[in-house]
Amino acid sequence: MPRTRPTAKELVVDAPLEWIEERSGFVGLVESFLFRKVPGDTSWLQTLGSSLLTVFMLQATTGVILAMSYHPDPASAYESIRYITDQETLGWLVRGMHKWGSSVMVILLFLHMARTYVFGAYKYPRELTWVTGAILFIMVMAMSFTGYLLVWDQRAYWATVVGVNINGTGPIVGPFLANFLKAGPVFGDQTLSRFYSLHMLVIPGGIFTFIFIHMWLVVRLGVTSAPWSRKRYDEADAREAVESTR
Amino acid sequence: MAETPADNQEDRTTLGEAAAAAANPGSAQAAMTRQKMLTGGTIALGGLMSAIIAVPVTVAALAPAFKKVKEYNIDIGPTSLYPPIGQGQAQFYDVTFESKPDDTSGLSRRLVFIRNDGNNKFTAISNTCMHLGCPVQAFPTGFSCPCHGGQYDTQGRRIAGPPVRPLNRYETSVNEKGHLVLGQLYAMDDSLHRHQLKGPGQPVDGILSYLYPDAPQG
Repeated sequence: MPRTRPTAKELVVDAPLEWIEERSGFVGLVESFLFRKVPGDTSWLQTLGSSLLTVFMLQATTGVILAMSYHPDPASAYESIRYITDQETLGWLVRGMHKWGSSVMVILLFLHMARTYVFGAYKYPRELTWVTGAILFIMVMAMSFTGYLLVWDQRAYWATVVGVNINGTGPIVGPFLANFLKAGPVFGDQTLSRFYSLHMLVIPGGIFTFIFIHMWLVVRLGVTSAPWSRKRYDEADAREAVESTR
Repeated sequence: MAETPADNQEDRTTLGEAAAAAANPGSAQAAMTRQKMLTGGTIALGGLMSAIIAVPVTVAALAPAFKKVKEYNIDIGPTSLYPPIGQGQAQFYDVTFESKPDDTSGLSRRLVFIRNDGNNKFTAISNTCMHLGCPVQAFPTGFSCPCHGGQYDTQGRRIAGPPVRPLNRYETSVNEKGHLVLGQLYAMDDSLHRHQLKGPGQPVDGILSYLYPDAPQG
């Protein structure tokens, strides 16, 4: 067999990928994630989850950039926000993306949850996917709450005073939860740095973890057919399908 | 260590140990193999190390929820600044002060409504709405909250809207220089009896007050 010269694509794309695949298996992993089987009549409504993931990536990326210039200190927080908006190159855009992205994320979250509910996609065997999704929902709400204070203007301050006091009206644990959020019995400079830490370290860590579990379950269990699908499985079929993967 | 077929099995006891355990159920091998001991030890050590990290971190994060703030007596100037006001007008003077005297951040700034009751007696009503903590304003008819429409009479008792109890008050006294001094902040019930301070939205009397344990308040 005559030796043929490798093409440019083989040299630049295939060979490095093969090298990586041989050592890590990453390429196969990504392929099995991206090219997995879905029902033939999968709907556009089932792209809301990946839209959410995209917006989360947007929030994480713009958030990291904003954190480079933000000061979580009562004396300079507002000034640093003004610096980001008015002085920094494209700072207004990055901040605007983060601000509007947060609203988009909450809207998509509700649509995604409504879609899951209407499709009955929370039923066996996807209960855990629903539960991890509910935990993600709570964490996104906590992100919205903690992020709102960081702007440190009058609206941010008083909205957070009200929000913390709403937490305080929870029975038994409420008063302690409110004090936990304020880092003490009254609003102080510790409150802002606590919210900052929760907003950019604690809760995002939780969200990353639960997105991983959530998506693991989605890939493992596959996508539900739409309610109008003629190919819709009933629960017995689902149990059989799960058995066959064991 | 030499590979034995048993190494690939789920229960990684060696054949010798398994045989010894089978031969004598009461033996040491049956109770505890080396493998099991090391597995248990690793889990216990991992748990211990996790606890060494997690316990102090959790305590440090939760501790502020149980800590009281230092309270100060605040001198708000000579009593002559607050003469009685005629009928038909708001009966209160707005006084702003720092609840922590050395604080320059503005975060400890508070607003209090001072009324001269005559005979060197004063009433000091806090401006924190007892719905969810917004600042209320004084009017001739009482107090009004801009956030969710809470309304109070001139004693700070709720007359409409969502607040659960009357406005908080400060202890007042007149010191030897003739200055009005604000003391401790305290909560009120509808019959204007004094109660231990609680956060906004938390009732201080009636059956619902049992749902709100006394977390430190400032």
